[in-house]
Amino acid sequence: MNHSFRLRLALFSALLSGLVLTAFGSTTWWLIRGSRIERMDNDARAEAERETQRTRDAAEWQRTEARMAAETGIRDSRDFLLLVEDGAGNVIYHSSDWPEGLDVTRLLWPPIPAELPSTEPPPRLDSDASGADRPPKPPPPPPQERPELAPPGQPPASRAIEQTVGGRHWHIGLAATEHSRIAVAVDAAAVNSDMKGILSAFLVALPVCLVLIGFGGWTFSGRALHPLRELTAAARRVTAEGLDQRISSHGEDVEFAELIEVFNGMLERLERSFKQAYRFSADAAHELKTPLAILQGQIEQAIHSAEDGSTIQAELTGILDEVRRLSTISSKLLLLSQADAGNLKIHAEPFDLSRALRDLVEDTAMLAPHLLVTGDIQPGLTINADASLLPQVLHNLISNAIKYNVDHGWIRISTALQPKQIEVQVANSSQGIPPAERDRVFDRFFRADPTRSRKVEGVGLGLSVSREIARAHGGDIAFSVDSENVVQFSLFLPANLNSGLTPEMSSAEK
Amino acid sequence: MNVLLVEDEKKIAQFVCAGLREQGFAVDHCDNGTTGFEYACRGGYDVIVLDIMLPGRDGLSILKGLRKAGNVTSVILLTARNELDDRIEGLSLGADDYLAKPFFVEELIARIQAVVRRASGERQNLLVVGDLKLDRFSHEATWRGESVDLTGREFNLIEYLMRSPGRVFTRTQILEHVWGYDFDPSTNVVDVCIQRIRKKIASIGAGAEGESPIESVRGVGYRFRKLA
Repeated sequence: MNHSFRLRLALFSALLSGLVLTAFGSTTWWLIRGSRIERMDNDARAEAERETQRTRDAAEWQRTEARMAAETGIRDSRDFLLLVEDGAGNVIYHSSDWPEGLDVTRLLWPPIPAELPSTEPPPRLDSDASGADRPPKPPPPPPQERPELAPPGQPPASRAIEQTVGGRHWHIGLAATEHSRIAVAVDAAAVNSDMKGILSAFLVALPVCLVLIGFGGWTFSGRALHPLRELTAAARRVTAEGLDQRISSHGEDVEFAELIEVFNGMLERLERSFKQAYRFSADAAHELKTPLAILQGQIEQAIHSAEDGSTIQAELTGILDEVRRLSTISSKLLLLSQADAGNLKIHAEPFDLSRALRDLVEDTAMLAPHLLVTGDIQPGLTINADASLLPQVLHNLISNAIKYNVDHGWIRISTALQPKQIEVQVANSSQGIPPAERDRVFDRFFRADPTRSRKVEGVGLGLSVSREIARAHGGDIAFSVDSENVVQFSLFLPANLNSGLTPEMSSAEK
Repeated sequence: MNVLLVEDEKKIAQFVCAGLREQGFAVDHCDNGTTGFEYACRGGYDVIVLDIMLPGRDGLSILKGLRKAGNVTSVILLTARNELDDRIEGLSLGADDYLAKPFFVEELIARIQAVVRRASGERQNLLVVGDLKLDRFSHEATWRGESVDLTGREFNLIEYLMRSPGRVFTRTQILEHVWGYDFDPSTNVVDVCIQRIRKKIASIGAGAEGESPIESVRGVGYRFRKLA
């Protein structure tokens, strides 16, 4: 089975791009997700830190919560939690939907920096050391001193932690000063839903991209393979029309231009040697004609001058036969070389096919009295044909039917009218043709009998010439082996439309 | 019958002239196209036999010139070169017939007679030799007043022989005239056809076996019995 290179190219480019896009997309997705989470943590922390500087009542905190949620880009208010405590750990405000499981008493509040925060960095706690089993008791700040020591500018201590409660994963920003502790919690689901949006956008975009890339690959490879198709078409034209076909390499890519040049060069060489070959046989046939004409004419004259029935006259007659044989071969060679050169022209004139076929049946019966010859020929078939070439085709067909027949065999010559063509069928009994040889019956010089015994006359030029002539008439010859013992040649000829002959009329005529 | 032959190949011209004269034709011969055209224009010929490849002016050009000048003398073309192309061009230029080299002089004679018959427009065209009468127009044959049912091939064959009673025709000459150009010379189709004609005439019963109008010439061919 043959695969389309073009299709494979398109599929391969789509597959490769798909893999690259998927890898790129998933990496990007993870990176975006990471940065989103980090930003979320930072936002929560920053909000918490900022709000530690304020003191509000519960109603104000509720409004603040909504504002903060909007600022951090959370659409669903359930995904955002706010907890405000005073320095002593009493809850001033918490979101109405603060989950039960998120134990406010066990939050890992960052330690409050010492009085000299610039020299003493806050002790760090690893965020993963979030063990709820180790509730750190932040040192209770001495409340009596702090108020005056807590100017608005004092930075709060802060940290970000993560906690999973009831299947929800909270990112919590904690900030604390001596007199206020704020926890801002954001549900990771908020990020996840955003990421889901990105993912689904990606999943929609990927197939579209792949289709586009595949289509692009298909189109581009089609364009890239254009010279290849030209080559194929040219090679096909060479088979059909002759070796004079060339392809233009103008405007093609270097790689293809080179191939085209080489191909053209090869065609040129082939054409030249073929031309030489058929010019040689045409020339030989021409050159033979004049001497053959002189020989034939002089022998003819000598036969007539000789005494009737004399030995010399009989001998001259034998020579004349051989001269005729030579003439026949040379005219066949000439015909073939003209067919090869694509020069086989016909002089089409009204031709009485029915009459020619009746003569053919008569000839067949005379040529092969040992065979049963039958004819089924529609009367009144007139076609446009060459009156000197077409009879040769008919004659070739019956001489084959006679040559390759069996003892007490039969030959049937019949016509079949089709809408646009006339089929002349010559069927005969036969010993059968080996399947391997069936394809070669139209080959020049091919003969089914390899021993080339003298019993089977001819030089095997017949069928190939016949087919060339049939094709020059716009028809063809087909060959079929109906069963093991019946061989049929069908000669197709275009029906003469001008004669106005239709199948109905011709049958009515009878 | 006046015939002009324009042919540059001496040996061909020689046997063609001899053959035609033997048939009783008056033959003029030119060996180049230029004088050939002058002779042809002078007129007075029943048929002009033109070779195509000629020194001076070629056959097709002579034909074209004649037709252009309104000369409608029958023309038969002879050629060896580019057979098919020339034939097509010649016929389209108004040649009456075409003969490819190599050819039989007997065949040329038959063609000349046919062309002249066609040109003279004879409708009733009877050929009578002895007891046999042929009507070329209706293709009917009668032997001593009785109709003989001949097929197309048989009629053509006997008509060919009857044209020159007493002259022997070889099988290949007959083959070429009746069956066309490229028949295998070793075929026995001519003998079979002659047998059939003899049988058909004999079956009328008017003549004995020995009286068959077609005589065999051993090793050569056949001839139509010449009246004593």
